Amino acid sequence: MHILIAEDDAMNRDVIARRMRWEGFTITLAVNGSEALQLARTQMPDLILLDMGLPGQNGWDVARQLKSDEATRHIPIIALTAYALPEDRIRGLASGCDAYELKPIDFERLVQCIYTLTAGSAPG
Amino acid sequence: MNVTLTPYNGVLLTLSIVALSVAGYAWHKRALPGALPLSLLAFALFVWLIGYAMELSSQTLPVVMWWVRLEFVGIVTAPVAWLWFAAEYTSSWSWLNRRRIWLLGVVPLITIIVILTNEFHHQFWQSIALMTDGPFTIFDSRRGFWFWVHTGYSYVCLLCGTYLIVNFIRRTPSLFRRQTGALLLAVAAPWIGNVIYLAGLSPWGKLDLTPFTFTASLIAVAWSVLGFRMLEIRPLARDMVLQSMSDGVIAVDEQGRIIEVNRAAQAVIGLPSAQIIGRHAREALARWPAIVDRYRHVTEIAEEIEVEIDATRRWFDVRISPIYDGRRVYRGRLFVWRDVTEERLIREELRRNNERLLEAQQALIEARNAAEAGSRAKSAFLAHMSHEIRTPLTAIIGYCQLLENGIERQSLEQTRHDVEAIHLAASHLLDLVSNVLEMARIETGQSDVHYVMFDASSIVRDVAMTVQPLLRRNRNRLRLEGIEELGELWGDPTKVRQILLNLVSNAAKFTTDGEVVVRVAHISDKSQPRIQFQVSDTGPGIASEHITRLFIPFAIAEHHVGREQRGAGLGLAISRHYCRLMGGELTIESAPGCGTTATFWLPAPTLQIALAEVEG
Repeated sequence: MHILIAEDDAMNRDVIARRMRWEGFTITLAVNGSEALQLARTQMPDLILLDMGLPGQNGWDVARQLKSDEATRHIPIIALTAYALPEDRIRGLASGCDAYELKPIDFERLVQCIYTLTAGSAPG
Repeated sequence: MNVTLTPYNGVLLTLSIVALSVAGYAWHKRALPGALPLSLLAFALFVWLIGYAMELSSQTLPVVMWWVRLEFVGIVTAPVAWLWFAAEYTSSWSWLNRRRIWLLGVVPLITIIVILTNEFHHQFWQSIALMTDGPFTIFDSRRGFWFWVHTGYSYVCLLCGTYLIVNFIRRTPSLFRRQTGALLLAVAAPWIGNVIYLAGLSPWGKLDLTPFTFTASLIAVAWSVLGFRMLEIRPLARDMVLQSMSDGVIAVDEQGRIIEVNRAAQAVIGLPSAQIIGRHAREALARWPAIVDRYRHVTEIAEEIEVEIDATRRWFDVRISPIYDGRRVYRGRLFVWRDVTEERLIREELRRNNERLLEAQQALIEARNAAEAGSRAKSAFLAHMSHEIRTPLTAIIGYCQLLENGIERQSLEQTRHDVEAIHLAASHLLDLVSNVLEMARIETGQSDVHYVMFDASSIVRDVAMTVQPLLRRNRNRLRLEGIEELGELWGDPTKVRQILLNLVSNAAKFTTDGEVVVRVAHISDKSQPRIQFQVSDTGPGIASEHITRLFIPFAIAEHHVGREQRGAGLGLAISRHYCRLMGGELTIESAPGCGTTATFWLPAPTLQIALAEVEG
């Protein structure tokens, strides 16, 4: 399975990427919103792990754009964010994210969520 | 003297006593307008009535003639007195004042002389005879030329007086109804009597009714004028109003001579009215030449002026109005002034109070806004803090899990990297907590400065070393300027280091593939010598609307910068506060695309401090 990770914090990016590789997923990394949009459109990943607080175009914008685009609408998006207030969660889901996971990340829950959202596509 | 008393002359004598009483009473009140002519009128009627009564009672021609001559003194005087009274009481014919009234008496005087000398020229009576009409002895005569002059003159006087009184009644609507009636009767009575007499309609034949009706007129006037006390009250009341006014009042004639002054004005001028009235205004007001000059030719004005009286400045509301007489001829000016110093002070006080209230209201509004803004900023800060704590915790927990699960499988180098990352993230957390606590200390006034002399250049070098990893990460160069000449500085070295580290870290974080320059210089162009630190970068710059927000605690420019650069939003707030604690200031200049320059300065150590250090 091919996962696009959009995360601006270097250490968080490193941790998430290594853990996802360890789970056996193929990883593409993006460090800001526009890069995330570009990679999603060109590489068509099976799922996107999207940080909300990205510089430039933030996660909410990226999710909104991907979900309004016919070509990328089907790609499941999991919001990964340190914004922990209930309204942040509502805002994330409203912008089109399929799931909302808080930082620090519960990786077992996250992996479970990834499989749930990509049910039907074979783990790779 | 042979005198026969009849009921008829009894009535005349009774009336004469009434007339004499009125004359006496009016004479007593002669200072009041109208009273003197009224007294004269009453006395003339008294003489007329007495003369007529005695004429009717006398039996022989010489005696009758004696009384007739006396009677005529009253007859010629009464119409003139009537006119005088009408003019003075109604104050409608100002030309006829007490100085000119004697002119009216010229014709009556000639008449008396003509009567007394009639036997030589017969110009008044051509012939004289006595006739008996029932119980009366009546003086009968053929009238001469001067008799008709006298009669014509008397009618003119009566007519004029009547006109003035009718006119007065017409334009004085507030006059009481009974009083109006009495005045109308007074006006009509002599005419009715005279018309009856001249038309020969009198039931008493040749008996002259004029003295009766004229006396009725007198009684009506006396009742109207004295009975209603108008004569006394109206001018008295006017005078009282004028004198009791707290406003100063002066009237001057066309030549500038003072013709009226009230008590308040006397007090200001400092002289009794007797010494003011008749004097020229510029003499009476010689203490205030500027005011005399100012109003010399002003006939109409209303303004406030400042005047010095007994070495104190006072404010006056001055009103000048022209005085016109009944014929709209300009006669002088009326000055009315009022001391408005107290009013002005009260007005000032009110205005100041109002301003203070508005200021207080504004302060309250600002305080409320600030409280609301503070509350919003704190909520935003809490949300932000949660985010800022969770981010390094994500790294720490993530690396720990990686190590737990895979430490056996990974290289030593990888493990070292992971541990360093945990350390870095934990340090970041610690900084965050420290800054928050420091801000809390500042906000509760617990942040102190510990002054010492310290080597400023070593602090700059230390900061430069500290930020090296940050500079390398964003591929920035660091240049230091002017630190060799810096020498010693008076201040709190810990705080100076923290300010500088904050500014240089910010520059390094926000700039990629650029340059950060730290310039230090002595500035002595202003009164206070200063040490100035400048940290410039070639980064993206900041829009002016965001610069002021940079210094607001907890209010960081969210979503405008990347997470890598963001802190708790406290660094600049704390740095500026430290600068101000040490007597300096911190400012930021920037524009998008032009980099950012942060400047802070501290007061340079003075000679005294340096000496104190040496002596200490």
